[in-house]
Amino acid sequence: MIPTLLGIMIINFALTQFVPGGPIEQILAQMEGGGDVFEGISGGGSELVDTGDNDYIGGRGLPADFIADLEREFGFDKPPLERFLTMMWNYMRLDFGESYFRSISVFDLVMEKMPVSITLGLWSTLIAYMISIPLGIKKAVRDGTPFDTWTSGAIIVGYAIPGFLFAILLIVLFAGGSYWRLFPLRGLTSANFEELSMIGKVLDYFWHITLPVLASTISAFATLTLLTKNSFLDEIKKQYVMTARAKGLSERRVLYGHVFRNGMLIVISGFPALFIGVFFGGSLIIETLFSLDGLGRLGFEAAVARDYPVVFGTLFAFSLIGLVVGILTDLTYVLIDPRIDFEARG
Amino acid sequence: MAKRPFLSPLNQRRVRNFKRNRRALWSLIIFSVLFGLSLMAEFIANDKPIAVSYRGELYMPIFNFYSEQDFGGDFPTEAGYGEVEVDCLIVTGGLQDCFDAPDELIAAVDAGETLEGDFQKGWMLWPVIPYSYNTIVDVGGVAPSPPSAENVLGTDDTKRDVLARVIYGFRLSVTFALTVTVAASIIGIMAGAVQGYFGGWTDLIFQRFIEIWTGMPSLYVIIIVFAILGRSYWLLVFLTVLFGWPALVGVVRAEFLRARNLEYVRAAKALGVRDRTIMFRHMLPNAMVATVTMLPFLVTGAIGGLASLDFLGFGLPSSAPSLGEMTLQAKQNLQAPWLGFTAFFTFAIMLSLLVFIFEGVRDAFDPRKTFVADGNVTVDDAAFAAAETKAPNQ
Repeated sequence: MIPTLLGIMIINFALTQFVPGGPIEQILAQMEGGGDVFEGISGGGSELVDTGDNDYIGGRGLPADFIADLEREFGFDKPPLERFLTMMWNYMRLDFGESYFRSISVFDLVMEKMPVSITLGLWSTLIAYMISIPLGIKKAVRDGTPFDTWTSGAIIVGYAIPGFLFAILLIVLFAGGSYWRLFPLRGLTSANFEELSMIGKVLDYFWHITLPVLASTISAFATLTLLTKNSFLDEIKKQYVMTARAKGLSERRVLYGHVFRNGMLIVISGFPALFIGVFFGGSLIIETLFSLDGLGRLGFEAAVARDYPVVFGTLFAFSLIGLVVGILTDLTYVLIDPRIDFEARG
Repeated sequence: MAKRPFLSPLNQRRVRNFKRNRRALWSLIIFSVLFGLSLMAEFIANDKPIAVSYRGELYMPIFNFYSEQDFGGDFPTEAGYGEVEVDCLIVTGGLQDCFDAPDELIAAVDAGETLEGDFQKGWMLWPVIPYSYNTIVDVGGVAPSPPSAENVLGTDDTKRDVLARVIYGFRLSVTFALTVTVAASIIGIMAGAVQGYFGGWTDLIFQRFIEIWTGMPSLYVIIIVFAILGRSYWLLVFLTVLFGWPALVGVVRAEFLRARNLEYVRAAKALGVRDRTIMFRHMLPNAMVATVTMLPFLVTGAIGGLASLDFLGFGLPSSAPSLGEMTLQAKQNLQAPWLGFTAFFTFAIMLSLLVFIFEGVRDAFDPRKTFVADGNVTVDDAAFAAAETKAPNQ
């Protein structure tokens, strides 16, 4: 696990050493009137941003000692190895440093983006579970019927089409003004959010998140529904189900009293991963489309603007979380189902 | 001597199984027609005529370059076939009056009159859609213009015909996805085979390597590489393959790890068969089912990935007929809903057909299905769920 993490960091650090267009160039470009990396997408402008210039733009105008000053400020005057070791040492102590462009620590920056990510993650996960599990059970019970075939088809199509296309369709239909102007186009809350009453605030929030949540949920059905269906199918064929039926239990009791517990094991074992996904999930394009400011966008913006502390800080933290979650998933697996073990067998 | 059949009995059964799956079969038929049409895009949507008859001679502007001078005009540049003057020159056989009153002359020729002077009637055979993907359409009004008789799906915000762009974009997406899938499959299968077959340290080190590799932020790398090398189709194919191949390694590796202790492999080893032969001749056919399971996701993942990149502005060069770029335009021009609808339904139809086809292929390969007597093939959800957990996330 630690070598993996180290490997990821080394590769990415090395990558950034050899590419043009570092943060200094970005600052210089901004000083000369370059701008927002999202101009091309959300602003409605049609010009795309040129993201990599091979020379210091400043080389054409700004004095050399100014650039040297900047380099010192960012720590680029030190050799790469030293910078890398300092960085890793800081990360080990969970000190993620400050963003280059906003005087705010990376940790606070991530916290700032959390509301959007939690909103999207929490609601779409809730909806997905509330629909997928009953649907999966129903499909297992009616395996092979036209209902089963058609829902499978619909789910898989929903899965195959990227979420942002659904988002576009929803925007055009419900927020674009051409058809029904039911939902707002951008943001998490209205401009006058502070003045609203408690109920008004809640309503305003849900009003804003309906479309983005819907768009990010559609593709989430497939995995869970089919997982539920399969584990139920496996269980239904087993002896104890026949016994339960033979005892004369109602089909409902059999399904929810007996099969459900066993059938849900595999779904439950996904909970740790799910929980983290709720907090740290981010979908760049969906966030961009609905002008939400979440983690997906943070990562992208940081990458384009070469905000290295943010890039490496989030990369380190999320890789670490990902690896821990992997282990946790295996552990819950063993915990809830003692039949599973990971011992090597000859 | 009996004629040896083209396909082995097993493959024949697979074909039969595929045909029994009506959804997959119909998807394949519809998709083949659409893809076949889009392969002939130049003959369907182009701003040059397919054939021109000028003074009794036949010209093929789609394949060859003809200057305006070839048709009796003034310029040595390529003839602008859409211009009314050139149109008139071709129809009348190069009458110089065309520069003064082209419309009247064309009308006269259409009415069947024979004009005086050096007249020789000619004709032009146009494609169904007289625009290519990058033709600027000459219609009035504000830029994304709504669907009309000339532009069935309207135009985009630089006045290019949407239908023409859809046809070319469809071809581009599908060829991109198929190229990427084939390349990523080959690399992935080889890597997974080596890893699973040798096991031990090879496996361990490779496994770490893949973890690191998949930990790389691919979008970031793509942005950087494009910034250095410039954008091109093949570079994007290369980069997508670069980040796409680990998707297959997992399943292939698992199959090989399982199979390497089986009797037939040990027997082959004892007989002194080379490693390479054992891997690709004996074991690979058994691992094929697991591999085929992943195919639908590789294909749709590649198309979705290309669309997202184009949407973000980091995909193909901006001149390419990209469907992702159309999606971006739809977002920027909400007053033009035809862009959004076209983009959505093009993707929806393309991806659904591909998924259904590859599902059919997968079911046909599944040994459990192959030996079912009544051949009642249903969608194999188990395989989906198994593959899904490892599918590439775009």
